[in-house]
Amino acid sequence: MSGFACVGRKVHKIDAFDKVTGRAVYGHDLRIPGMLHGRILRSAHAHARIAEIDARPALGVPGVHAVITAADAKTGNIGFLQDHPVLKGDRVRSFRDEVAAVAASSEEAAEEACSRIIVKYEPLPAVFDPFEAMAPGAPQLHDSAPANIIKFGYDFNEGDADKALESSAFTAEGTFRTHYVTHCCMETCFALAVFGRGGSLTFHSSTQIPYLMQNTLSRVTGVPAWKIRIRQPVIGGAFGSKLDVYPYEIIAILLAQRTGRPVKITYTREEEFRCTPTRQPMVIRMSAGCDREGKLTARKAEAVLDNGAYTSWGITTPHIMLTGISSLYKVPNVSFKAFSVYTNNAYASAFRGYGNPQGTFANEQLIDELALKAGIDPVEFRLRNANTPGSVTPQRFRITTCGLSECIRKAAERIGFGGPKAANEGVGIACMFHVGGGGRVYKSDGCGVIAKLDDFGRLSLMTGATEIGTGSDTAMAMIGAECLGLPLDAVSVINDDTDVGPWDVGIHASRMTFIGGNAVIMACEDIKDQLREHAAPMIGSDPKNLEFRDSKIIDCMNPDRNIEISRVVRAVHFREKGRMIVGKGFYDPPNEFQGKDFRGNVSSTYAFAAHAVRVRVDPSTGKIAVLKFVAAHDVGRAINPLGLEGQVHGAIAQGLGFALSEQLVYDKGRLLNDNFTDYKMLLARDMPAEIEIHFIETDDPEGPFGAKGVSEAGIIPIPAAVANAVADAVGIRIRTLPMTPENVHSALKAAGKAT
Amino acid sequence: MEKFEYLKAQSLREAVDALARNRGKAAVLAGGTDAIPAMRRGKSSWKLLVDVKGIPSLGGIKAGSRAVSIGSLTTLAELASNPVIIEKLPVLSATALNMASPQVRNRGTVGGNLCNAAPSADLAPPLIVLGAKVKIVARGGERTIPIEEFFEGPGITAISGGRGILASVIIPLPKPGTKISFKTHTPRMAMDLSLVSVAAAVRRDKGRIAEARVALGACAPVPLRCRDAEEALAGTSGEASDAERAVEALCAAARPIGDVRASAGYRRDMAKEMARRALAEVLS
Amino acid sequence: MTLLDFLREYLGMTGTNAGCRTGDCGACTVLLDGKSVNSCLVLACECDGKAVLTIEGLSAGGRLHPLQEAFMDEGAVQCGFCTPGMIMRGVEFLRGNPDPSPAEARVAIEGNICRCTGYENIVKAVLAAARKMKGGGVA
Repeated sequence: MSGFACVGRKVHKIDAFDKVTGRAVYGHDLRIPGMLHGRILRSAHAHARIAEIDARPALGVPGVHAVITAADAKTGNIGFLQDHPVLKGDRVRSFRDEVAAVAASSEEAAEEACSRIIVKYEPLPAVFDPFEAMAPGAPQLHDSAPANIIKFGYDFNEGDADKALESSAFTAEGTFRTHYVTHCCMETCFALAVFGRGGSLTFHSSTQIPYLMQNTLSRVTGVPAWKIRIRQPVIGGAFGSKLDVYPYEIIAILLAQRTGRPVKITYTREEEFRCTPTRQPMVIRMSAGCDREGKLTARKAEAVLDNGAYTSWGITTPHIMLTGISSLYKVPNVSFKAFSVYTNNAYASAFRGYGNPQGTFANEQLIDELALKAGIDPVEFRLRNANTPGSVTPQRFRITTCGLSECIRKAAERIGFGGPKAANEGVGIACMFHVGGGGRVYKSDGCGVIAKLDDFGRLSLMTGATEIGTGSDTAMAMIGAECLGLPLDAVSVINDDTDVGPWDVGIHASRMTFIGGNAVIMACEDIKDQLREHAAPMIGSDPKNLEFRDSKIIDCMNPDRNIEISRVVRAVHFREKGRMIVGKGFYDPPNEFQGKDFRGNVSSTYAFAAHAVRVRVDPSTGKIAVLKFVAAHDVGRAINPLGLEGQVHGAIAQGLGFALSEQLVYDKGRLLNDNFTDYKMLLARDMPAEIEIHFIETDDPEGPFGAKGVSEAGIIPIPAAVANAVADAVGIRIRTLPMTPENVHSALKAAGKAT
Repeated sequence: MEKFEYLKAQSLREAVDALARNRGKAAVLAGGTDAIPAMRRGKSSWKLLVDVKGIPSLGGIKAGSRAVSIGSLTTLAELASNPVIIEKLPVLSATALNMASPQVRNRGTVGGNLCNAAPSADLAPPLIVLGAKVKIVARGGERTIPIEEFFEGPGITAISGGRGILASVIIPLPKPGTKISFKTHTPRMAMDLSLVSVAAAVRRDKGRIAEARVALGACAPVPLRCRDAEEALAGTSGEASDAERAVEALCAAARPIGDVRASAGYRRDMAKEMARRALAEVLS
Repeated sequence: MTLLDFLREYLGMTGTNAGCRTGDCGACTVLLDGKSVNSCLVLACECDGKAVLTIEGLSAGGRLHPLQEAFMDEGAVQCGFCTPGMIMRGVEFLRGNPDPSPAEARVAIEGNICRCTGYENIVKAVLAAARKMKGGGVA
């Protein structure tokens, strides 16, 4: 990466040292003197009226400090539609529901106390399928939603998709079903609530939305938002799961209020599986058409989402699913409808890709089917329809830089499309379109950075930009080092405290490196302006000619005139009428918040990728072996190539798990596999032996040093790419996830192809 | 985890006595890889754990001229890497190596895998076709029984409820001309439980099958020895049609359940497939 | 009390992480008399008289173990929660197999779950550490 001192180089992540030495302090590790442990009693039914709760026996357990139920802990509701009571008073609607909670001096005492609480339920009929839930006579979950259909849907039309499909030379359609999977952060959820001076609340949390969380905690608990401080320890994984506020977090606060002591709630792994939200399961009916030359004419999709019993971000995932359906490839006519239905299942939230992996599973399989019908090679078909720079999509997304065609060519070439295949072997390709320059899904897409330079040339970047393991803080530090010509070790990122960091809307939509990186550049430019002004007279140069490298300010016209940055800072401090060197940057990208018409340039640039896989299907067991995987991504520019590769590798593992093996299995709302033995994430040995990752650098003009966001991109095309490869291998189309050996075997049997 | 007493037994006698005295309330602690999580999840609540790891006579692998004795404390890692096992009973070392994870293999024991008596216990089918016997030490003395008689139900064995300790597994060395195969079906490559497993051992004498043993795992409440399948093979020349008859007999014996891991129908299909694969290997 | 709880709660040594407490994820891996074990599957009382090595003790003397270096060099760390267990597993593995193939390194970490990295860079780190250790004579 010529021309850059730090950007584009392989570096150690700035948090890696603490993590390899065991010194990183995670939420699990936090302990405060006098701290109590909270536990939550959950529903024994999928749907029931609560007739009576007798919590008194719990108080008899030694070490118990408080027991709370809905009756004595009044709070507001939580969730996107505020349909979710924190503690359930009169009715439970799923097995995960919180009925009572205990604070005790030990986990054991709290658990024992929970087991002694007597709850009398009157079971109600329950419903576990969204289509059954809409049928007449189905149990009603919420008064606000007749027939359980939630009054929050998506309806987007551009052109006339029906008419275009009718007149298309070729059409393909299908019903696609995606399943329940969950984030499986290696660190289970925790919350630690500590009340202090004047009733102020310090809330330790692994949230992805520290500032939005202040607001929600305040609204629900009544603690004024200005008294709430969010602290974030090192976060052991998030993947979207921590974009909402959950009952256990409020419960920790209630227990701390009640006891006057710090209270911590830590989930067990079983609780994590049972009680944290899932990826949104969907049934998607989609059709697509093309003309004789293989040009796409229209896409039409209708999706029904199983909302579960309460509403979190899951209900809004069609928003991002729509971006792929409307804007992957050039398609003039688009129709999209989606709505969510209450059931007595677990509820869904945000998960890497945000609906786009589900939509792309349908979208990209239909592309293959159209290509087959039109007699065009699937790679060529995609190239004919690929997005190009300067185009505008039906949702009014303005495509600026776009490396999709290069990605397609690279992935197809490296997987050996059109080359020889052994028996039962197949290759498949799928592409993806996603936001890559932030995503204005809230009114704000901004992030602030305060940059402070000290006497010794150390740069502190204070920001609200949360690090969840993706390496965004390393990227921000690298950008800071690059801007000021400092060594990476001289840059620290302080992003664990809402009292310190300026506003950030949250780490979502693959936005942190893009948005946070740009904010760092702005803050550093501010610092550079100040330093130039002070340094110029010190070395007798024109401020315009001053450059920053090797920890020095150097006159580019006369390099002999130079001075250590730290010396300038000291000179500014140690004088009469001294000043401090602090820069500010607030980056809010030039993108648009969409109205009810779902039109507007939601991201200031877009990410593209093509994934190609080679699989071998065992027709006697249904087992799919992924022999080779190629991922080609338009990344704008690789700020930290090692970190970027890691993001794509991780997405491949999660995506293959989503496609092949992971599934939460419920029996009438009760989770049957709450452990890593039966919830099958892929392990090191299950990964393809051969994985290639290619970066296409399109140097995006809006990106920091040209970079785009990519953290989600890698998971999006995977189920579709695998399904396309399976179709190529054994001639069956899998439209229902996951493609477990059993499901594939049963599809093979149905097609008379099992051996 | 509920409170419990911990006894580090110094001798087999002490351990056997402690178990007998606390019948139903005490359990043997060997590797702990099943017992400790079961206690944490409240699946079992023992008042006493008898740690037998300090009893030397329960450890070690001894090779004689006709049989190999594997002490019940032998870890899966030791079984996987023991030179005698690798040379004389490679099916066991390979099976052990495919079980669980390195950390669990470092801790989990042969005795634990058998005494836990999961229908899917991977060591059971190969041991059954090897004709293994288990040595049980109880208050009344020692006895040795065929391994297939050791399993009485899911999680239940001939020594459940404090009725003794599994001391060792005795495996007769396969006679010349014996071929052994063990096929398991798991969705993942590691850390997985067999959905179905089939072990087969066949000894040929002058072209004819002199002896055949077939066993099925995860398809019944206990690991199953399938005598009908054995009879279908015995005395034949091991043609494809003979193998198919044995596969059918084995499938007839399979009574798989449907659970979170697989449906009964898929298990049945896979039992057939694994049986075909195992028999194809031993009859080749 | 398990060894894991003893380390974390009693000794305050929180470098060893608790991922599942059922022996399925490997996050709590430590060396017990030189063997890698899930510390959630070992009772503290079973460890009487035994040597326990945790991630905190690996870099004793202020010098990082080659595996720790390699995990940083190869980008094998993301959220980092699985990292100490992965490294401790790697320590035992490389002692027994100082010159592993990529496939062997994959098998070595088959019992350690990572949700972030897709394992690829972890495998690379184990192999890089092996090369480093052969060159530098570190055990």
